[in-house]
Amino acid sequence: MSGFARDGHVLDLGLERFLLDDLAPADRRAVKAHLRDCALCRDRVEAIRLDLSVPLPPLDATRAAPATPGTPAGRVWVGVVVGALAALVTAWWLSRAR
Amino acid sequence: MAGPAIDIDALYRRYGPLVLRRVRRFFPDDEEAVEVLQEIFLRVITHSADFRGDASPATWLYQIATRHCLGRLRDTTRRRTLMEDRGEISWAPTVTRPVQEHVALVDSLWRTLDPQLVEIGVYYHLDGMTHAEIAELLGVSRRTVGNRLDELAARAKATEGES
Repeated sequence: MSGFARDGHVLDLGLERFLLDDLAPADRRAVKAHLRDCALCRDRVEAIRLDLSVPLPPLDATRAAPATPGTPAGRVWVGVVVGALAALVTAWWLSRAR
Repeated sequence: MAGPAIDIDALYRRYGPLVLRRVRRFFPDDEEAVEVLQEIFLRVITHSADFRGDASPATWLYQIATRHCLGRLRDTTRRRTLMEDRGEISWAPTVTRPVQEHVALVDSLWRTLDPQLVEIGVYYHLDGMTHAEIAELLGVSRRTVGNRLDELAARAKATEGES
């Protein structure tokens, strides 16, 4: 993506990626050149810089969807249950063998 | 084919602020915006296999965030426009004279159109993206984008006729 809008200014996404050093080198050069000549986008980039520097709350992974057998957490629980059953069957078989 | 493995915590640290800015376009309230941000990254966890290694994580997350916000807006029972604050009628810096489909999209059309058409309309009319930018973001041809925008214009015109 070049990062430019139809009106010739840089898209918000382009400015955000510019600040995050996430643009391809040629696109980055183009944005930089535009910023040299455009006071509007220079103001916008400073406002976006401030927005991007605000600390985020920690990612709350505990709010993820409940684990199912298809998820890693679900597979762990399936393993635990299967293991417990296997232990019970083995104990029963050993007691009968005595 | 599955994409590269993704470190969600690293993605959140690096791109979370960008995603939050995007969310605030749709949900200006701070508390709601942070809640939506969390939902989006939880969605990223379950959809990480969809990430194409050749795309930037920023554009991928931007698209996920846009879709998620539009879906949430559609699901909400509150009656609201696509943009809470219609003072500027656009998110692009210099769009001063919105066209009919722009206004119709923001006011009411977004509730009834198919999700892809709304998404394209948002990128074009509110973000000010070019056909090429939208095509690259969505992984479709420019012709598809053009056709869909023609469709949006026709729907807006029909709406104008009804009102």
